[in-house]
Amino acid sequence: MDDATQTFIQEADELLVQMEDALLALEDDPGNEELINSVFRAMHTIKGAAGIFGFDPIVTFTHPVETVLDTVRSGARSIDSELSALLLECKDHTARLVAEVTASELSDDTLEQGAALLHRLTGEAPASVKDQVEGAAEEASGPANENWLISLEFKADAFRNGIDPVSFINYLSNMGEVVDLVLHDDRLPPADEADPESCYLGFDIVFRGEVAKSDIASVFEFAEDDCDIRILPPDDIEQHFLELVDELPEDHTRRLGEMLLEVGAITSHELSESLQIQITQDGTPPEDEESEKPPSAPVGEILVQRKAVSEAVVNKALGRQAQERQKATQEARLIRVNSDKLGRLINLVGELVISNAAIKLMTEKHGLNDMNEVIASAEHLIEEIRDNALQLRMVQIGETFSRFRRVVRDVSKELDKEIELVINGGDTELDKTVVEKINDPLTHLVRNALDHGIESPRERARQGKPAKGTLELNAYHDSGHIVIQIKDDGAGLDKDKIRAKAEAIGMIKPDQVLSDKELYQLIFAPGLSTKEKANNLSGRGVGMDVVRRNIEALRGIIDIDTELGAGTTVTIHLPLTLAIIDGFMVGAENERYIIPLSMVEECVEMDSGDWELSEERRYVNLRGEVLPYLRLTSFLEIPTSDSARDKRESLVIVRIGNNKAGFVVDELHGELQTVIKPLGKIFQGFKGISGSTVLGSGEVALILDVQGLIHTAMAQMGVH
Amino acid sequence: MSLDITKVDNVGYVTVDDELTIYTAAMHAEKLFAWAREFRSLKLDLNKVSEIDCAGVQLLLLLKNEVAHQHGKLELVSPNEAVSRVLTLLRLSERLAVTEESSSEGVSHG
Repeated sequence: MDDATQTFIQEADELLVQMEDALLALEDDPGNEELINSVFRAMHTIKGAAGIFGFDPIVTFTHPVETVLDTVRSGARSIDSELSALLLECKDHTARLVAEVTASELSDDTLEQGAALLHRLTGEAPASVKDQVEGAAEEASGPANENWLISLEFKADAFRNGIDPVSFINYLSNMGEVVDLVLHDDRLPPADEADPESCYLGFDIVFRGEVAKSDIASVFEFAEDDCDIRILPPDDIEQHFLELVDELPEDHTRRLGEMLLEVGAITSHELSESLQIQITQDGTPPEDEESEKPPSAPVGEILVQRKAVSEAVVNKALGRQAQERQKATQEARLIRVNSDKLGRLINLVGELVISNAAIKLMTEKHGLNDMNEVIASAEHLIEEIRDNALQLRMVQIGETFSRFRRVVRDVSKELDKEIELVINGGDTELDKTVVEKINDPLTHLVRNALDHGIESPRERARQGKPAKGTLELNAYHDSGHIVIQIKDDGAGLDKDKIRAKAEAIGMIKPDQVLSDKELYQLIFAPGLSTKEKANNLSGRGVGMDVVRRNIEALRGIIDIDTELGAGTTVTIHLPLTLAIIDGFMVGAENERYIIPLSMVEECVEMDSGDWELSEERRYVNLRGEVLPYLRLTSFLEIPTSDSARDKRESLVIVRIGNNKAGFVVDELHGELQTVIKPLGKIFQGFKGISGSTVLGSGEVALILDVQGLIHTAMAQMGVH
Repeated sequence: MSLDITKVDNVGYVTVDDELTIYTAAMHAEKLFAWAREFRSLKLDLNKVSEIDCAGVQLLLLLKNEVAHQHGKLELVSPNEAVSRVLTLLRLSERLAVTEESSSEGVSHG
């Protein structure tokens, strides 16, 4: 697939997202012209682009949709919930068409569905592809009672060049009706001066027919060199052009004439002719927009002078051009970059970080103190490069969130529930790779909340809750993490039910004591669903266990908080990035380990007297606070040397969300930029380690899986 | 395949038995313009025109101007279907004073 097609797909995708957003917003604010325009623009632009690429099935489908939207814009039809639902389907279908057509996998099934959809939309029997495509201009021009004015002025050599105006007019009369015709013979010279083989004639033809301007122009195409042709559209077609000028895709470099050409207000011949006149007047070819300014007459003026387009159309187009130029300066700040390129950049920055660490190490080793300053400044720069590089991949989560508007809308319709979606913190940024991977788990959680969480309006009324349920999607930053919350005010989880089910499948023993939190965590276990019957929304096998696995694969954690009858809140903590982090290096025996700095709460030296370890009961008492702990050497089963007993241990307190724990380590090495390298396949099942990194010395240090370690520590403390 | 002229009531009666097209326009123009100067008023019998194109139409218009210049009158009579169709298409029937009058009545060919 070539780049242009890729761009088409991407733009179509963006436009369709805008269209969906606008359609959903229209449900709350019907008649908002800006939104209607946005929907129209999406269909119009996709149609236009598809036309350029020759993706006829897309044109065929989007054209009638656009026509319907045009009637909405003109106020002839209003968007009710039925039309809105249909348009959403049209949007989905367009997405499918784009996918299939660009992959050359268009199925008959899709075409049939499209035809059926159009039938429902327009109420007309689906016409054949050809009819619809060719009907584009006809439908736009409305009933055939509008008259075109065609003005022909033949040049002297026309006859000699085999042009017979009669045959053209004859042909024209086959396309429609020649309502009236005036033959100009005012150029006829006296007979004795006349050359009967030269043409001195001109015609003004009033023509009525359901045609586009290009159709008419094509009739006279053959005569172009021997004839001055001007085609003036009927008033209402001209009106149509005025609207089209509004809808042109933004491209400030496009010359006015080309704009008019694109909307069909002029034909290419008229344009090149006007440009030709401009060159003649100016003496220089119009290379850029400057040449459209005086002293040469602007293209628009020439066209009007030559009656090619009415002044109104030109003025409108000029206004549009100015707007686009303004907009283009804003848009120029954004560049589309292939995400692979960003990935490579970030990898390289990672290598740079490592090699800088190596340099630092060497200078320390050789005692090159006078290099410290340069190295410090290099390090500072590298840090900035790192932050900037990572920032490049940051995207706002809002777009992901707003896709759920559609989900919420569709699901609440299907389930006859009233649900409002509230989005907070949509501008919170996180790594694009993370965003892509949380989409599925998020969808699952949202559907769960809609399906199992929020009750039917009747049930809600019975419980004295507002009939309309609320689903909140929140996002915010918290100590190097992004926190995403899916919060509903629905029924909440019934812990007795969960317990019963868990016991029934043998997951827990009847006499096992579990905290509420632990009970709720059980729903993330495979095989546990409290919903008796599965419907087509959730409960289709992709369970909460998959959600948890997905989140944990991103080094994130998922928590659930619920109150029976009041609602459920699912909280997801995710690292901001998967590439480079600020780490904190500790040592256990002679091995080095990295703890993500953002999770480190504090470090306490052994002899500070602030903490006290209870080996037996598996807790550490830090200034009166009881915390679970782990001794890294014993947990990781590192053989301890003889001198082990004498070493000074330190305590590192880590925190994720509300969970805290202490790690007992031998040495504190301090902060370090850490480039995260994935572990090999062999180690993937290994608990407690989430990755590795390369130190400046070339040694490998393991990155601790703080989440897993906290859980282990808590479990150990709970057992004792 | 020719143009013939007879004088009827001081009017040159021309029978056009040829095509009136770009291929014959120059040739016919020469004759017709000469006759216009000679007879001032002309009647053209177009019944036998095998084909007419825009050059032919223009020739008729030129001839009309020339006749008018001589203060005469040009009449086109008995156009056949091909001629009628083109003249109607170009809305010229009236301007060129076309009548459906029969070509034979009181006229002898010379």
